[in-house]
Amino acid sequence: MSKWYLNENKNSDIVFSSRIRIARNLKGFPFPNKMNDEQKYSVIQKVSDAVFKSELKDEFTFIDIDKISEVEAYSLVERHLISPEFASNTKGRALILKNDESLSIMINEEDHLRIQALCSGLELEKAFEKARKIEKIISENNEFSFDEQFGFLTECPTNLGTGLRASVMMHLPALEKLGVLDRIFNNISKMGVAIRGTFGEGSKPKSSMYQISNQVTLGISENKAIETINSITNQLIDKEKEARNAFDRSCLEDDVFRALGTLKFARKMSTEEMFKLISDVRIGVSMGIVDVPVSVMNKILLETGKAGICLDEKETLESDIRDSKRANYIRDRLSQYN
Amino acid sequence: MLCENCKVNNATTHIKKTVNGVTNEYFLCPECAAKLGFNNFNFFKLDNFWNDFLGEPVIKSLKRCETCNSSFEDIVNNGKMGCADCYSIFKDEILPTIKKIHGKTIHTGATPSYTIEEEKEDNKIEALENKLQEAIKNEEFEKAAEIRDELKELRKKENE
Repeated sequence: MSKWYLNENKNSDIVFSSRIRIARNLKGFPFPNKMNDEQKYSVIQKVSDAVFKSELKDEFTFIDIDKISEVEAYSLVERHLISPEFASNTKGRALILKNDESLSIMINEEDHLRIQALCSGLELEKAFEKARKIEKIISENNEFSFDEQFGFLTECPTNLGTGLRASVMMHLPALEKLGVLDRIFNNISKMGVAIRGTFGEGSKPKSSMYQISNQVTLGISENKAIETINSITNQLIDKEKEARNAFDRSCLEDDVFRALGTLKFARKMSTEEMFKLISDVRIGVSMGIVDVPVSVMNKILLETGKAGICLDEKETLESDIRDSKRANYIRDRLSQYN
Repeated sequence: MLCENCKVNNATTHIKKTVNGVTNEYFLCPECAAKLGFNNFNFFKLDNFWNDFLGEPVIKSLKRCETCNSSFEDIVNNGKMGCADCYSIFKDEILPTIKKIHGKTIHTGATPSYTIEEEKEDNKIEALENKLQEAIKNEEFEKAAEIRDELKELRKKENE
């Protein structure tokens, strides 16, 4: 099954991914911060029973996050499948992962269930459909905590109601360079929409990637929340394109080819440099300056992080060796593109 | 202990107020606490820090959640609810915070019953409508009447 990030959809050049996250808690258990180990394992059992006794069982893998290596856990963070917090505190937690990585269920993170669906490009509706399908399968044998007034009950009141977070990861290098993002984000925040860095709350943007998501979950329906993010994303796509056209074309072309040249020939490549160069090449692809498939850039971005590059090794590599290995990997992937 | 203010109801709320270094303590019932303006709980730690700083009252409710034993103070300190029942037990305390976060206090999205039962029901209605059309087309009027009655029944249930 090919990974979700190798597909190209609508606006894949600017919208890296669309993500739907649904928070749910099982009735009869306290929230994770008040659970003992026995209760945690009981929730893991109930949820995995629901998934692995359903007709979808062959599409999913159960991962005991407490038993995998640190490198494996952090490579999952780099691929946006689990939160950094989930990887750093693994006891009593588990992950159910769809084989194409488009769907993940974190068990006992901040809530009993964090269902996440990912799609390439601007495809929030499709991601929502995927997340809901698995939510329903789990709900057939499990009752969720629900209140007539407050909706689905969550550990933190910020997720109350639908428990739904719709977010898109956008590549906004031109707006970033123009220095107008702060002003735009200020306006957007008045509409109940939040902007975060690449790895969620409190993280810095990498590769000029920004995460845009709905902040309000109570008193707004699922469809309305998705509609709002869709409309803001479409406006940002137009603004980003406008900004790109405002730059001098020959300077832009120079940046793009220099970036591609370095990626194709460098013998050592740090993650920071990789993020920056991939961002430049992405602009070039989007503007028709170079012809590298978006899927190849997505692959490099998600698979050559500090942990990802060590995945096939028995032990963690020194940073110097990692940088060489990363440069080799990228060279192999890009050698055929000009 | 009786409420210091009305001296009738039980005191369930402990209020500590520090202004310019002078600390006063009060034991009040929820009604009097509300009347005296001590019901504006702030959920986030940072807010509390500023409240301490500015001499606003720090409120310690003696009430605890029967299911998970959380006090409202625990919830404020963790920034997390202990269990689903905390939402009903500390409803009055948490409501202003919810309003502050979401601007609204009533859920309008999907419900669990919709995700399972009603959706099935919706499919059932659609299937019956198709059957009805087919019966009419085939001039099986007796069968059509039966389906029509069943549909009527389902729609009535749906509107309840």
